[in-house]
Amino acid sequence: MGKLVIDNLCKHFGDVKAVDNVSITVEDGEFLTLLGPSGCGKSTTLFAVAGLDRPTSGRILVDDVVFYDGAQQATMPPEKRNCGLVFQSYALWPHMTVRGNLAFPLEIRKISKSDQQKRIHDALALVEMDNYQDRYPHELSGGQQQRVALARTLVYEPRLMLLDEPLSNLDAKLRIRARRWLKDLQGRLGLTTIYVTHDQIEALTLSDRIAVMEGGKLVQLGTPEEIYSTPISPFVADFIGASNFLDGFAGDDSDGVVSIALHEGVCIRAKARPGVAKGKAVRVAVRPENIRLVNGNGVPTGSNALTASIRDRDYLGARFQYILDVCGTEIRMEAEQLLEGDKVEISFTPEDCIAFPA
Amino acid sequence: MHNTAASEGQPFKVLFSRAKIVQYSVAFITLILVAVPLVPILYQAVLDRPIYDDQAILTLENFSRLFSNPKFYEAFKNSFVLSAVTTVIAGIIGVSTAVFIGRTNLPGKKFFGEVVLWPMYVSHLVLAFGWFMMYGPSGYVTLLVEGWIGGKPWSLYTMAGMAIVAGAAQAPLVHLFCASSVARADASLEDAARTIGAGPFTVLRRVTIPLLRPAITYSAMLNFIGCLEMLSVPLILGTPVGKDFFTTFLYTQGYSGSNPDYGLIGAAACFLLVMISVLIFLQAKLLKKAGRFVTVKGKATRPKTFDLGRYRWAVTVVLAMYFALTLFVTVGGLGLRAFTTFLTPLMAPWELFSFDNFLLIFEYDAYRRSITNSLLVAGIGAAIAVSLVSLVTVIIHRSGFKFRKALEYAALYPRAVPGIVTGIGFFWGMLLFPFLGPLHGTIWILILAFTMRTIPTAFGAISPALIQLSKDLDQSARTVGADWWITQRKIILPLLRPALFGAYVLLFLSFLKEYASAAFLFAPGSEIIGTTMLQFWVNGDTGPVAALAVIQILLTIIFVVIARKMLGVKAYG
Repeated sequence: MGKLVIDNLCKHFGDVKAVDNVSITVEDGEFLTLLGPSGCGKSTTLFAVAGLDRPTSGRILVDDVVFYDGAQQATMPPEKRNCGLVFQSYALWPHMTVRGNLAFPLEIRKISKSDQQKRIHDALALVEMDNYQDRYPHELSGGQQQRVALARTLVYEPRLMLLDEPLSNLDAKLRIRARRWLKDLQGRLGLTTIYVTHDQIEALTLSDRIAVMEGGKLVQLGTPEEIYSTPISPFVADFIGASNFLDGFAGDDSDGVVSIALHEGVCIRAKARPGVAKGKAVRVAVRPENIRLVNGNGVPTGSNALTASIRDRDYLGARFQYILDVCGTEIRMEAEQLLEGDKVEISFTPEDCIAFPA
Repeated sequence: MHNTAASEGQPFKVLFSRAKIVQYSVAFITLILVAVPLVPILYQAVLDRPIYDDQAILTLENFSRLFSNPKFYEAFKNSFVLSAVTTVIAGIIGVSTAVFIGRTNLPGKKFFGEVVLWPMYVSHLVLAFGWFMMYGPSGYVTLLVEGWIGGKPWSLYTMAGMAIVAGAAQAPLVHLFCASSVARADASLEDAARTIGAGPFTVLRRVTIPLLRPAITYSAMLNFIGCLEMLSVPLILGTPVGKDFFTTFLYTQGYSGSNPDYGLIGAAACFLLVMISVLIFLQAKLLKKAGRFVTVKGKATRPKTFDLGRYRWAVTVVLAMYFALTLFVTVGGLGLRAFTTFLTPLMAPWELFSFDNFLLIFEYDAYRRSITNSLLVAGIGAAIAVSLVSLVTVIIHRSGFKFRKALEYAALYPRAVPGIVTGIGFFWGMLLFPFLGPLHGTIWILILAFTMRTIPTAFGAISPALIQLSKDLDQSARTVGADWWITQRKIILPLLRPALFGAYVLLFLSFLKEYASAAFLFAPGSEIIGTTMLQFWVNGDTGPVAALAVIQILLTIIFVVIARKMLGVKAYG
């Protein structure tokens, strides 16, 4: 009861392709996150599913019900779709109490007064706001408003739950709590959920799958682990987590591990993505957290070893962040100890670095 | 486009959704309302006989007669000269009051700030009567001064006299625009001028006032157009000496005997309409580039007050004199005249004290009815107008209605239709369109005409509040299952309630004041205060005129006080 199919969805504003041929299938009960920088088309996609934004072409179906079909010029108005959308601004109606906000969708659905009361009570209990029924939105804190907004979408049992950066207006601590609580709730209710965010941590912690978008296109779709460990492009590697990039030329290839000649005659080995060919320029991504200091035990067998000069060090409290220079390229690394001197020996395994065709 | 598929495979594309029904009907009503007075005027302008005559044929002869009419040229010239001088006078007064009251340490500025807007609540007709009774050729003050200096001190029946009267009446508009601009001005712009070495008065002259330019330009354009279409001052102070203006030309032609020249009136009204449309178009063009003068940036800084130093009291005295002479003397004079048998400096007013003027009004049905009609028209009419325009506004700003841009043009066009032209248009509309016939002689034709006139005002009062409402609020209602109409009814319009109350107060007051468009529309049974005052004035009965003016002002005060107390609405400012 909640399988969403987005099929070749396009939204053009004149020449600008805000959403460019996006196809995603979201399984019943799945938590899918649309992740990308601002302007990547993730909110446009979400609003197209909600029916608030009319796409240019493509199809949107939920359980074989047509929401939108560009070929037939068919659009279901938003009020008929039975989606629950939580807005970034929460969009609680300021002239209604919490109860009034929740009752409104139920009144439209002609649900009896006694039933309304029970449902409102249940939905508010779910978000732990049952004691606030008579408050007006402006009498609530941001976190409370966010939970009421969620309750308002849950109260009428929508087919889909759509969340548009719902945590972005909360402060950092509250955001972490709200995140855990949201994940727990979604797990219990089993609602098919689409979550839009530009925050990779939210995406990684909450999602069953993540759809990374860039420039209106869907660039990678996969579980958080897949996206993190095998990013499809330097963009994804840098957007999910952080990556250092080293440029060089591909050499010999054995079992998917390719040797790469960096500048100044330094050679490393890396996992190759499709498209990397001998003699062609490549770009190698290494995450800062995968770079290790070479200690007394020497370099682990098979690892890449490099000598870097320290350009700068920043004290982060528990750790230090080092800005290093490797063959003329700036890379970042974190370590617990304070390193003296201006040279440092570092290593990283070939499995931790990915070579992309440049 | 796959039209064949569209007709079959669409379970949910509704041809007549509730949203469409509401949107099309509101748009249709608005269009009819705006077209009803315009169509007969444009049509009559090219007919050789009265509009009701079946034998009439199309002709351009009316225009050639109009353009060869010397009185028309005189009216043209007089109207433009009066408007230009009035605009300048109103501008000087309005900018001065805005700057002195808004930005200096003037003593009593809170009081002045209130008083300066009072003329806006009063009908221009009443203000003109007040000036006439005090400063006219046989006015109380005129005779008083004549007694002291032994000769005629001034003549109000001149261009200069009329421009002062009209200018004083229109200065509050300039004040209102400039005061809000002054209050929101970014203090850092002035501080910057101070740091580079400019003294306070140099800052005022070189920074503060130049930054008011958009407010000044905008209010000047409004005043110029407002004065072109003004009937009161030219009629009260111009016609006695045979000076013709656009509006008085139309008025006297329309009332000239039993056989008015329909074609000529049509051509003249048409000409006035086109001219004002062009002016409004130019005004819109001119104000497009106003961003250069944006004085408000995100951060709110409180503008400092200028220290007037030793001139403080001098300025206060000048302002007090100004308000005393233009407002308290004229309106007070009306009050005095209302409660006396006649008014003369030779006798003390209390010796002539009498209630006769009021008794006369309350004795006759027709006079009494003009008061109740005025209240009915204002009370019911403003409610109808606000209901209609609130729907127009949400359709324009918050719907996917196909013709919403066209609807906006139609809704704003009445700005270009002078009151007297509206009156003539609706009058002929009743002759031309059979469905309007039954409204003749009822207050409903007045309500229609006033509503049409005030669509732009109400739209302007509601729009800003609507634009401030986040679109998320309607979109969230749509996603939880409300269609467009429920969303507007349950979410948007309730949230607009303060703006709707504000618009109601504004419209109630302007309906209560309106007289020009009623001049051709009222009939026995549908008199209003304004038309009855005009009738008394034509007969030379200034006592009842003053009594009605006093009643109108009292009604206004009562309404404004109630509105402030109960709704928390200030009509202006």
